[in-house]
Amino acid sequence: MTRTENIDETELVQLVRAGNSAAMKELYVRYSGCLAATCSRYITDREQMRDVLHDSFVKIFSAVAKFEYRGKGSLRAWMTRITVNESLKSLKRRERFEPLPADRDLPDADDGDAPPLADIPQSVIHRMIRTLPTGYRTVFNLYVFEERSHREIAGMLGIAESSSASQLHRAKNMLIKRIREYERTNPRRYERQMAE
Amino acid sequence: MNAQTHDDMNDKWLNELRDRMADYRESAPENLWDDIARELERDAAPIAPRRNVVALWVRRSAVAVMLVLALTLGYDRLSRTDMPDPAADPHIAPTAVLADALPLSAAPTAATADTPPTARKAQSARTERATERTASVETAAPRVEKRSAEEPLPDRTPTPTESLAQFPAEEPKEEPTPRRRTDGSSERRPTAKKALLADAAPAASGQAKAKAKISDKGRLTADIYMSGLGGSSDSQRSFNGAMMISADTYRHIVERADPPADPLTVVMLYNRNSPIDTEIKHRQPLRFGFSLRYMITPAFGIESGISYTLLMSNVNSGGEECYYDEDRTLHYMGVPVNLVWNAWSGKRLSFYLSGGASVEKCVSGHAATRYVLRGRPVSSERRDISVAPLQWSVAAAAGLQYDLSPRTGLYIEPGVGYYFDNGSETETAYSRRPLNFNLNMGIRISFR
Repeated sequence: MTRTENIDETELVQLVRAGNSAAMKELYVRYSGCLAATCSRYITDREQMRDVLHDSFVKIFSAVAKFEYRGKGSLRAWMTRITVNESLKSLKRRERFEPLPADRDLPDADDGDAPPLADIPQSVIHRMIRTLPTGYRTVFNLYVFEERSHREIAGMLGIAESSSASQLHRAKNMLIKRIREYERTNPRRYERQMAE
Repeated sequence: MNAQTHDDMNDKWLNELRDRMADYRESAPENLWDDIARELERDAAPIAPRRNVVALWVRRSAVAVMLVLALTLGYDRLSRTDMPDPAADPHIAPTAVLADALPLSAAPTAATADTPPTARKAQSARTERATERTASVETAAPRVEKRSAEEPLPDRTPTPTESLAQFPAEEPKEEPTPRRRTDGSSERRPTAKKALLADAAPAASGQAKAKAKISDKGRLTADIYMSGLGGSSDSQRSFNGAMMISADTYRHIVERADPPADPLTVVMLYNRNSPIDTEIKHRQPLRFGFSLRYMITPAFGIESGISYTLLMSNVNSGGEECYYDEDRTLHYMGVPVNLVWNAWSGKRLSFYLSGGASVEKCVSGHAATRYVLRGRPVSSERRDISVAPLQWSVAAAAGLQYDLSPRTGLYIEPGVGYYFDNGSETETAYSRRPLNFNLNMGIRISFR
């Protein structure tokens, strides 16, 4: 195991391509954390998420022959893309991404001030994203994390471009609201920040 | 991929968010690597659908049907060689078999009256064995053609004396009966008439018995069946701004009127401003039943009985940290009434269609609920559920039956049922999906 622990990424990919099982496990160990985080942003059900992660890794290992190493970060980006695709496939199997009926009119929370993200733990932000309704959450993830345009998102999810834009808008509003609520209920940390 | 930076002031924080979360990691599910490794070991295994129990069950039943068909064909093939070779039997001619198919009342009572008691018994035994062939008048003719096509029959038509002389030796064979009968009548008409008068009573009963024997096969049958072993589940998921609770749960809460310490209320309050997941999973209903079937004519009958159905479902409703999880079990008893039409029957196989209605009532039900607050189970409760309204449904099915013996058979009956909305607020597999497919399997035993 120690053989592969410190190995360079390019070499690791070569070994995986060659079918080296220790290398495969090492790849898993190195990246399962980040891919699990990506996957759980899209999929809230634990069982479903496990299946998608499983499928993603199987797909990654099967397709590694086609992967071309293009510098630092390209491997992660490629693996992430596969995981996102598998997540979307799984979500599409269960629901359609139609715009949700207009729920209670959320006040436009963009009053100029960017919400203070620095003092919120990553896990809390992650959890907030997960509480968004599926449609909003998916559009939000694709826009923010995968940096897709509304047109691309519309194509991927089978919705209208305008629907993508409005769902993003609502997602942002919801998140801002949650963040502000969190700030309110966790003032101590905030005050400490202010005092510093 | 479009490397788009969101320059807009409103969206700048999104960039910040992305950067903030760039190195966020979560622990992967336990033992995931083992599962992955196992799958990779399987040579180039395509990603198979998981938990596709429905497809598995369809496959299983298809295999079962194939098996039944294979057994039947195999048996049929085997028994063909065991059967007395019709070609060798000079007394079998197409017309003779056709005569056999005609209602026995056409056969002159003289024949039955004339034959010695042992022969008569043999005759009844023969007709009983022949009932399979004469199950329906319509099918006798094509079968005859089939036989004549398969085994070339001799053209010589036996003379009356010859047939009569050979009669005692032919006891195990089926076909000679009509030949003998028709010939016997012509030969023995004078004596027959006398015998007819003398033996009117026993002859009539003999004839009636013979007639009854033919149409009585499977007249009254009982069957025991089950369906729903596939155990697939059907789930429904909804995302609303408001927490979805079923009306009976709501009523239950209101009636209890507990202080906010009531976990369900806490769950509701906690989630009041958040979008909620509600997931309801219904298992495929599992049914056991017993019914009696009475054939009014060989082709047409009616059946009724009792059935027991088990409905199980699971409701999970709430937000991320605060939700409840409930397992519901409902027991239904019902009375189905169906009309049956025997579309086709062969030696061992028969095929029928049935349609009818059923009424069911939930006789008992309970729910076990678990409340989770902030990720930790807080309390649990059990309560009884009662569903007052009756559950009406209509159903249609096609059945394939394989007879293990003249009195018992196995059958498989795929069907479809539609369950009417009975206005009950309790959600069941029926209210979720009123049109339900099922696969009954059972044993049928025939009386009389």
